Amino acid sequence: MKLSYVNRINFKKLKKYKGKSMFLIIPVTFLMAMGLIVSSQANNIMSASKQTIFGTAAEAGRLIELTSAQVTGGTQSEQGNQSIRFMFGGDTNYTDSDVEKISGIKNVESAALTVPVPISRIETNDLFSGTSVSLNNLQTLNNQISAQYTDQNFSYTAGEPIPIILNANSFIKNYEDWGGQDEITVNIGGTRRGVNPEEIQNQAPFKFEAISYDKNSLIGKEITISFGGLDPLQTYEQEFTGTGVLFRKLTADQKQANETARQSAISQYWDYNAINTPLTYTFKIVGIVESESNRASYIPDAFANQLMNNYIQKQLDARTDTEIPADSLNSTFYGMTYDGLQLQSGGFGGIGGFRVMGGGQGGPEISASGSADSSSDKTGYTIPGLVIQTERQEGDTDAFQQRVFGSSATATGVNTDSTVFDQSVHSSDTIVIRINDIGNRSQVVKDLNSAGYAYQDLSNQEVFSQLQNTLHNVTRIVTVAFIILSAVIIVLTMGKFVSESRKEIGVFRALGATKGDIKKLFMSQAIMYTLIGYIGGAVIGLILVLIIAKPVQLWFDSFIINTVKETFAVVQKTNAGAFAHIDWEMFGVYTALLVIIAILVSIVPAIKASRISPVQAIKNE
Amino acid sequence: MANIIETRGLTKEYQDGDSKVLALDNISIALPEKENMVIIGTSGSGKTTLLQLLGGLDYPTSGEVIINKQPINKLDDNKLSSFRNKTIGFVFQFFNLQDYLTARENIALPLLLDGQSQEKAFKRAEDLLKQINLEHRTNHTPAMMSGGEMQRVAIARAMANNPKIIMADEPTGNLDKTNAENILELFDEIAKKQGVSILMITHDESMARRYKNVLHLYKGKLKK
Repeated sequence: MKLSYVNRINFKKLKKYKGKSMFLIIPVTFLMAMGLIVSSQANNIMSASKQTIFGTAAEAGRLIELTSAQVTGGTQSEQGNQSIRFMFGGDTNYTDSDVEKISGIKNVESAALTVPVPISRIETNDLFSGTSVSLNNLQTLNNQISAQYTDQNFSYTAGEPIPIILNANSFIKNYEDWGGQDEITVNIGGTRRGVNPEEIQNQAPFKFEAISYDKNSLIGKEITISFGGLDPLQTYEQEFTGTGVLFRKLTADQKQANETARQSAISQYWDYNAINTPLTYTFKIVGIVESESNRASYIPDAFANQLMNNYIQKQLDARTDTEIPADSLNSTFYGMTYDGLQLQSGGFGGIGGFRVMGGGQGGPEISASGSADSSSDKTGYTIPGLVIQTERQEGDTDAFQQRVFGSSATATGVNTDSTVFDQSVHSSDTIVIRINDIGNRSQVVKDLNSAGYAYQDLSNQEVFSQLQNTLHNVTRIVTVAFIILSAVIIVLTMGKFVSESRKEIGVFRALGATKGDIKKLFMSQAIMYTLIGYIGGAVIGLILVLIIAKPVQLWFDSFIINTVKETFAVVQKTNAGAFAHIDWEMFGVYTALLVIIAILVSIVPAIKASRISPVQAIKNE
Repeated sequence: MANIIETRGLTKEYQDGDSKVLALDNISIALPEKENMVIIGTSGSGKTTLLQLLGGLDYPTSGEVIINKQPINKLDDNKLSSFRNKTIGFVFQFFNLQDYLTARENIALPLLLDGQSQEKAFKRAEDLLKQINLEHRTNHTPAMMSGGEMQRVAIARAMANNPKIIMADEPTGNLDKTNAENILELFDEIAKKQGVSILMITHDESMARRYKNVLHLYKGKLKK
């Protein structure tokens, strides 16, 4: 018999025996509607919790900041203000090969270094009125992993303000307080436990304090940042005594003399005004990092190459025709160093003397490195954009020392390639890793550690994972129940239909129906009734998802208030629309499952039907 | 003249629990073409079993069934189905019309099972409805018809594929006297006009008088 007529017969049967047909249709309708509602609402609750409970935390939970930086010293100030801490860069430099290795870890979507931008003077006056803020630890950040620090767009577009993520640890005001005196002595060896930072801080005339800020008003603000320019001249001189340092204010004449000396030294080789004028760019603040361990501010890596290129080119353009003697490099003129592989900042050793670095590498630092220089009575100047070519130092070099004090390798000349930053091997003490799903975080952390990258996961994503797992399980259970129940329903009801149709089957067989015809007849019936139930369930399910969106929202909001509000600070209100989304993916899954199940499972009663003998047509009772 | 129905040593055993029941015991019959026959017997005589075997609804335990020169007990299930569809028309005591189908659809069913188009099948069904004077029932379901009408529709269904034989199982058993007479007349007419052999089983002795060939069955055996 033709399939079209087989279907016609079943449709006529359905019309005649509506009530009986409902034994199959209604359960399928119910299952489909339930499946749709549960999977859709589980999905909706999932995304609502992502938005409301965790906000960007869920997204940030996909990121791991692997850093070798360590924080030591300093205590949280009682006033709740930002404390001043001593920050030492990590003792390991990660390179592109580490990035490659980590990228190979399962479920790692991408990994990138945050490469320090080796510019020694980066300042802005636009953040806080009357105060200049240094952003000395500026690093590059890949757009793909920017979610670690910002929820806003971090891509660089030429001609538009450049996105920047500032570090709150940089919000430090530096000032001098001589207490009305011209001389101050700081006792360094006065305490037994060695240098006590707080004591020095109190005694020294150079003060720094954290600036209070309002994060919300900073975000979105456009600021101008200057790169380069000469360091301000010291306003004091210092002398090492047996137990400490004596600071003495310079007189106006002395200051003028220093300025004249610097100008004449630099002018031989550079246009003084040009070298003293910084590059400026307009930035837009898209994020504020507030972290005890992270002291870096970030700019897009796509912009960093351009910046470094311009920075070095500016120095090259300012050069006079006079050749710089090699022996003045790293002794009179300091700058970045390039050993053919790595481009490094000049560190802080080049200035000579004892100096307080406001917001230096990872925050304020006191560097007492310059004693050798001061004793040789030679003044050094940092030239912005100057790249000193050095010999490559092979072997075990201390990354931290190099970063802070600069390379100690022999200078061989000036590098005149402005693209040297782009070409150099990038290294950093931080790699940011993006995981494809927050649920895989613990596995990635485990794999990181077994790959030799020590990382202790302090981020508490457990609650989120648990909720996610619960909701996934609910959907999974509903799906499994859906499969089992629909299969059972089809087998049982169709089995019943077959037993009740023994006479009918016999008559069909007597009239010439083959076993195949009978199979077709019952499979068509099972599939047709299932599909009718499916359509009904889909329609009812879709409508119910919309109808219950509001009650689910109310339940969800009260659930949030009662349970997780104390754990998570950020709680936004949801709206009913968030719970009116249909999980089309599961809709598709259920549709496919139902068709497959109806076909597979109806084979059983269909075979049973085909085995019914034609003698059933004429049978002695 | 060739035989339309012929059996040789036809035997059928059933398993009933632990014991075997011999329903038919060594039946050999022959019915010439274009002749009718009635099989008569009481309940349990084996007449229904004989009809099942002759109609290709079941296989014998032993012996041969030759219908229209074809030994049907050797056919596989598909070929036997096709044989039933084309060679035999069945008429049942309780009509066995599908209650969800109209008169036309019921009559067209054997043609549709044969894979014919609906158009062709319905055309044939309408012609048959005209022959049995039930044109007004074309689109009526069995529930709207009288017993006599239903049985006429059932006979039309049996006729649909132009079979060689119509096998009727107590066709009047569920009808009143007038209707029964009409049905028997219809059979006579069909047999005469279309050259179809009618094989009828009944327990009614009076019916046997209408037919030349009468087989008496008793406990699975032929009674002379």
